[in-house]
Amino acid sequence: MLTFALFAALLILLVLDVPIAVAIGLTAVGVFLLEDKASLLVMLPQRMYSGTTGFTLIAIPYFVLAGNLMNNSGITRRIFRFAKALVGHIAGGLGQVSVLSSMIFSGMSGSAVADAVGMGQVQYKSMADDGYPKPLSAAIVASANCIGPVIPPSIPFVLYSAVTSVSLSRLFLAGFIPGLLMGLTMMLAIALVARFRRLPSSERASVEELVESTRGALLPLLAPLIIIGGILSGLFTPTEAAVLVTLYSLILGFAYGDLRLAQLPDIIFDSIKQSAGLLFIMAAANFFGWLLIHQRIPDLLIHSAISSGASPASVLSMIVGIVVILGCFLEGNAIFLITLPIFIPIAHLFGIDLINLGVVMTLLVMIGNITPPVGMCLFAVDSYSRTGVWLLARECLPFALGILAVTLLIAFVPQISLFLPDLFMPLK
Amino acid sequence: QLELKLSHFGSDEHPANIAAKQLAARVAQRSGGKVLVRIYPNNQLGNPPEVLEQVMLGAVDMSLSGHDQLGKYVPKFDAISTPFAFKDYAAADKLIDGDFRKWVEKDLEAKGMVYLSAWEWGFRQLTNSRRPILKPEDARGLKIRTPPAFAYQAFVEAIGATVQTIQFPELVMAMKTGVVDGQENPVSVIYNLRLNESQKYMSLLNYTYSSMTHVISRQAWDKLSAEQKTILREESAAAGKLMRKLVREEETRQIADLRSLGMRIDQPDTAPFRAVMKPAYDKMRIKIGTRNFEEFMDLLKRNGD
Amino acid sequence: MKTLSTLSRRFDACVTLILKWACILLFVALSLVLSGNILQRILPFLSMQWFDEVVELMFAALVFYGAAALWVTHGHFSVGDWISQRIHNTRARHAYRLLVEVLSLCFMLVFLFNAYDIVIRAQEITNNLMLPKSMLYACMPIAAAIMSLYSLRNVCVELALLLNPRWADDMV
Ligand code: NA
Ligand code: NA
Repeated sequence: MLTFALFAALLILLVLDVPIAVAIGLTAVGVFLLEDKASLLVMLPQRMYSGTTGFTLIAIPYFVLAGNLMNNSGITRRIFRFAKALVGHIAGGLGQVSVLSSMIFSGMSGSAVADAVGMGQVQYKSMADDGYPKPLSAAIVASANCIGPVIPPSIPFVLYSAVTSVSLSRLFLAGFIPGLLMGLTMMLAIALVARFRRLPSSERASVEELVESTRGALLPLLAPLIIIGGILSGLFTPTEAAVLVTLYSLILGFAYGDLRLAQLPDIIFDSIKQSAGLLFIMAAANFFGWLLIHQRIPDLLIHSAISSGASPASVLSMIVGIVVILGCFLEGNAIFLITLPIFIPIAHLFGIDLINLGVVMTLLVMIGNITPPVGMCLFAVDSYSRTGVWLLARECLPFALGILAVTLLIAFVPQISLFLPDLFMPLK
Repeated sequence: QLELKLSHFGSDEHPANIAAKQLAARVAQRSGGKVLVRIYPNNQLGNPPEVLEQVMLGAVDMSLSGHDQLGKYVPKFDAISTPFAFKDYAAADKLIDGDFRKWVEKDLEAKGMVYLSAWEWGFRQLTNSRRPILKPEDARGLKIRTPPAFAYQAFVEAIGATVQTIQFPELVMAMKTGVVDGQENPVSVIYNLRLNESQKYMSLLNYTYSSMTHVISRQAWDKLSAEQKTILREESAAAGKLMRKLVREEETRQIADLRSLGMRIDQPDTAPFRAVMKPAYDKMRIKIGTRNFEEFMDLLKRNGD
Repeated sequence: MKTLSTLSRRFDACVTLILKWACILLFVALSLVLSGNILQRILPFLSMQWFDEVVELMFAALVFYGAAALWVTHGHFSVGDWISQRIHNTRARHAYRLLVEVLSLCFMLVFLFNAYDIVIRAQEITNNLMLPKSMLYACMPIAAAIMSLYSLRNVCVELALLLNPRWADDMV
């Protein structure tokens, strides 16, 4: 009963457009006041502090800043040109280029929304200029950039690791194959659509163009190597990799001459604010999670799950269902932070692998990014394509279903995501 | 009916949790169901420093806190980490359950917490991937990961190695990739993380002892009747004994297991190591206060051998 | 009304500027310490036992001051204002916005009060630099005070608009 009232109150506050962090925090405050435990409110600052100061979380402002620097320094354009030279000629032309460039950019950036704003504008403009139907182009952009946080680095993975304390390095590796599968599924879908809608393809790139574009993209392409190579070799932790990649993109930006020193304070400040917005939700959610555990809500849910004879598969299906529904209405990272205190003990008890669950949850909130009424990627792409959120969402539907299919596959065949971490960082 | 929330770091099968469960069951039975101990294992309510702060603030009733955590409130607790203070478990038990407790109890109460009894983490041991460490010179130049704990770092530096900062979740990877040469932890942690796969050498130096104290907040304590207080004290002590027994049995078994898995485990003479501890002791003096340090050394002498 | 909004805008600019440079400086310092730690692993002569504490101090301040800066510009994530557009009565619209602002203010005051409380009551001393935990916590009441102030202002503005919607012309 308390559980229900709690989530109902939270939902009402969210719908009222109260800032997400406030809605989460206020709900928990309300519960303690109702239970006459005002003395426990001193835990609000303690949990908010603790929720934002985990060492892994420090990676977040750096990954955000690195992404912003690359978008401001023409790196996105170089990568797009490189992808175009590679796949511009196959069925679906620039659509395929968009997916591939998003996949490559995923290796350096960690946030779907930032990718949709930055890389997305380059992609959208090229497709629109090339005579692609605008709503379809916008949908491709919105969906393709959802790959961002699945292929490492990834902000949702950082959050997940901070909440569950599973190894972030293993989690990063686990995202690779699912991210590739996601991209391939999307490219397949675009090839099919291209048949039906007779989408244009570009000319096959000349050898000179291939060489030229590769040379232009070569240095940016080292960024993913810094991250993954550094983590695999153990030279640095994901947080340190984030710092180094930021430094690297800074150097590239200045070297290419696209970035000016005067811009830097604003870019840094914007990145800090973006991250702080996220981490402030994390802070409030940490208090909310403390409330849940203090009230033993996960325990109660586990008891009812066990007594109703749930199996791991049914628990997993339930998680998928809940997150897809929540994903329609809530921002993805908030979903993570609200639901994980409940999901994690349950998953632990039912023997569901926590690394794989992290990948599945991330894929699910990526679907949420392109489902209406609240989809952060929809909003981001709509802000420059002016397609209209609902039309855009309808065009995204085939891609959302494709991602869902990949998600289910990964959820029920954990070996796919676990293959790389088990290969390179075996626990046993 | 009174509910006491007990929060600790151990997983469900950890000796701490087994002992906590015994405590809960016996307290419920002996108090006729009037006092219920609710256990929150696995750092559910926060990490160890946070949970101790929750006890101090009265948000959680009881915790099993390491002496290093308590040392942030009552510096005397940090004295336990003095390298080579105890040669074996018997020596540690004797001092901590006796004179040490009398020495710190009042100070802890001034911080709003009541000392129930001492449980156990165990002795910490040194492992590395390079060579057997039989004398301090063998450790020279090695990069050793420690938690951000003052005394451990002082020990590592005193034997001529360098301290490395790596977060606990990334510890296993850091050892595997060899970016750090070694680390130090109780045997159970070394065993459970399978560090033997990357760390070929372990020296059983018993270089420092980690105690764990069962504390209750003043607010919760004052709610108990005199009889209930006695029950809680007695059962806390019994649970502490159970945990010590479990930890030590487990440790013997784990050392044998690690040997059979090919780890080289030495038990070097500690005299040469003690001989180079002066810088570490000087740092301890600054950290916990000269007077506290001298008093602790006196306690050791009075109890010792 | 007009002078008041000019004043308030000046005040905004000033607060934002302070927060901006505080955040940037913290961020640069944090980057240096983090890079130093990597360097230290390669050249292990630097001793950085204070690393964790300093990083925690700077990062916490960065997050909470960053959140305060975002609060000044109404920039925190929310579901989106889909309700206002559907309320055609101006008074009702301001009443609704007032409700939202009051809810935010309530939370901020609870946060402010308890953050202050924990700063007063915290007794922990950090391991290496022996900093009082209160010093690390201090960023919270400061950020909360800034955010409360702005929430209070927003409440006043919505209240004024509710009482007299025509003031809106003056405030643009
Ligand atoms: Na990524
Ligand atoms: Na959505």
